[in-house]
Amino acid sequence: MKRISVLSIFMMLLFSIAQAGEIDKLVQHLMKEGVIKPADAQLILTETKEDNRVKMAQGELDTLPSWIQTMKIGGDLRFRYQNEDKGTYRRERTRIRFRLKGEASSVQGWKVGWGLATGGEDPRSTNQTLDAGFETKRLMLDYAYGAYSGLKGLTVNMGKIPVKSAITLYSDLMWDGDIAVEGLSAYYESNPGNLQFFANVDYLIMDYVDNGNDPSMVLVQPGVVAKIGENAKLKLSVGQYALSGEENAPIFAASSGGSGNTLSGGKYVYSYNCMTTGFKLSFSNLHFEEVSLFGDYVSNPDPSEANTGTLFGIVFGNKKVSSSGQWQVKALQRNLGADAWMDWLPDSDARSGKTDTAGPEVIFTYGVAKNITFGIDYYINGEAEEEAGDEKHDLAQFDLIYKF
Amino acid sequence: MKKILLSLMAVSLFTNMVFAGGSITIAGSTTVLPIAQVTSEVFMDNNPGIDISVRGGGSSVGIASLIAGTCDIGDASRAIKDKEIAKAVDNGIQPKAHVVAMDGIAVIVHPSNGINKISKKDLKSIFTGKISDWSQVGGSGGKIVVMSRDSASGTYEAFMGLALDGSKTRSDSLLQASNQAVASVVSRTPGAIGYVGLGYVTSQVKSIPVNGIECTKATVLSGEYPLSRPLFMYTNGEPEGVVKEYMDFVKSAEGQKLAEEQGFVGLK
Repeated sequence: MKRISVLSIFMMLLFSIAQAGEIDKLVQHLMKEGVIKPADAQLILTETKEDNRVKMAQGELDTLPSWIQTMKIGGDLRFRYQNEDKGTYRRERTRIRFRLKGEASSVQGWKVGWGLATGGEDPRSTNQTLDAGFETKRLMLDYAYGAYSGLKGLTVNMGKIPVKSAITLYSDLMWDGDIAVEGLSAYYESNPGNLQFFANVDYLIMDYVDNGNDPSMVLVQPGVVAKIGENAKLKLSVGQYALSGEENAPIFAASSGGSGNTLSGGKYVYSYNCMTTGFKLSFSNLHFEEVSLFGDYVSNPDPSEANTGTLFGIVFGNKKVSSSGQWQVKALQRNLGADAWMDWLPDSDARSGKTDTAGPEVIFTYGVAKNITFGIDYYINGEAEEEAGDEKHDLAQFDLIYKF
Repeated sequence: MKKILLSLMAVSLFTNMVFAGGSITIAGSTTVLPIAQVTSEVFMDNNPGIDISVRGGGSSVGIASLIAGTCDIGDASRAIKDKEIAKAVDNGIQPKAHVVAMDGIAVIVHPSNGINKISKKDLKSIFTGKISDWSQVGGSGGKIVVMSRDSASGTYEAFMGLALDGSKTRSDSLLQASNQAVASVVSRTPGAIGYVGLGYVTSQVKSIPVNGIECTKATVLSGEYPLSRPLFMYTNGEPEGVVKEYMDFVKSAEGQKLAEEQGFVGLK
């Protein structure tokens, strides 16, 4: 009884103390004095810490305003040296990228996400080249969106949304990962048994035009995640795009360096109501922590040729590279026909982001220290439709990334 | 009339007592699986009306199932991640952590081995193949024979995470199917090194301190020993009803004794 009373008083005292460090000291002191056993100390410290993490996520810690508890800040700084070789033309550049991102919520189920990044107006690049006599660099609004996730399994985002939050991507064959799409995006997932079903439904506005015929796209992308036997997992999805007013969109190709689509009089000749499918097949219990095959396929039914795109790749090594000594290798082969997809959206580093692009890419990432990585990304690209006189476009990028 | 009412109440109470039942679904960590299995078996024996379904799948599956509402208890050999907490909160789930045992992995060598301590860094180098001779870690020389558990083992998973920072063991390591087998082979092989749950350390092998800390129940419970970690069962908020009864049993002296019989360090 005495022990229960002492423990009760101790627990009351414990929860009135805000600082985790002070709780640690108190528990250690009580353990040394023999008031509590080491096992009880471990139990109290671990469970209290875990309880506080959940309370913090709910904004329910008494000692801090809820918006501070739920605010998350992060970002990264990347130093890049890159060497482009187009055969007759070579270019070397040193570039930086700085990104600051955050998330805040004051009401459960509702939150705001935002990101600032260096770069210009090009939606596919956040780089700033070191040039122009130490000029100051621009910091742009990369994305800002509101999210609602109050219904089980459903998340709705609206505003300027990171593309990876709006579309399930397996590679950057169609979408450069730096893009933040604009509009409304809904994601739903359900987990019956060992299966997971998911679906993205997006309404994305590409531009505003005076005549009211805003270029926009709708994407419906259902998918499934399933275990295959004991050691493999498959994620698979299909997608259908429905575009309207896209004849007003080629202006983006000019502004972001892309070209490859068939144009006439400054307008698209073909529509881009593309069908896509993508997959990731992951294996466990193999030699490496991560071994996965992945792929993407896109088909545009309107043109009769150069209307498909494929990408297949493998990734192996550590699942994530976030600590010293961890590493990962990714190798892939892409082939994107000229009119398979709109040319202002694919990976901007693959032949400057154009369609009509083919070739391999190899990425090696190594953990230098916790949250500091070194990476090499090497592209050997040419045109998908090989013709005499085609220029090669090789690109080597060396990156040092600090995450915080 | 009063007697009839009292009789009806008594019958109702008796019926509830005799036929009180319910079901519990547990999913998750393969490391915690033996604790869940053995405690649920004994708990069901003691409470015939209660049915407990236990399945593995890994810690991520356990926590994902709790968040999805497809299990009552999610087992995990690691703490829930911030991303998982955020997803749970978004889904209206409040993950409540229960420490159900400690996992302590002892590093063992043959009793004749002159090595009396090892650093965590050297341990990783030995098990990943960078060091292959005892002279490289202050021993008297000779090839190091590495004993490991098969990759399906929870102890292997724990050792990989705690000692090897996620790296795999060297390809020529000799895989054993159980803790007893590792201890047995190490006790018969002078150049061998292996790892076992604390409960499997016997006088036939020598347990060596890691980073200067001996593997004992006290150092595992205090978290001082580098190859130790808490094992969790997560519920949605404070458990109620049959889930509470089961969790109370797991944390009781009897439940903790069962956990120790599975090679873990109990909290009682």
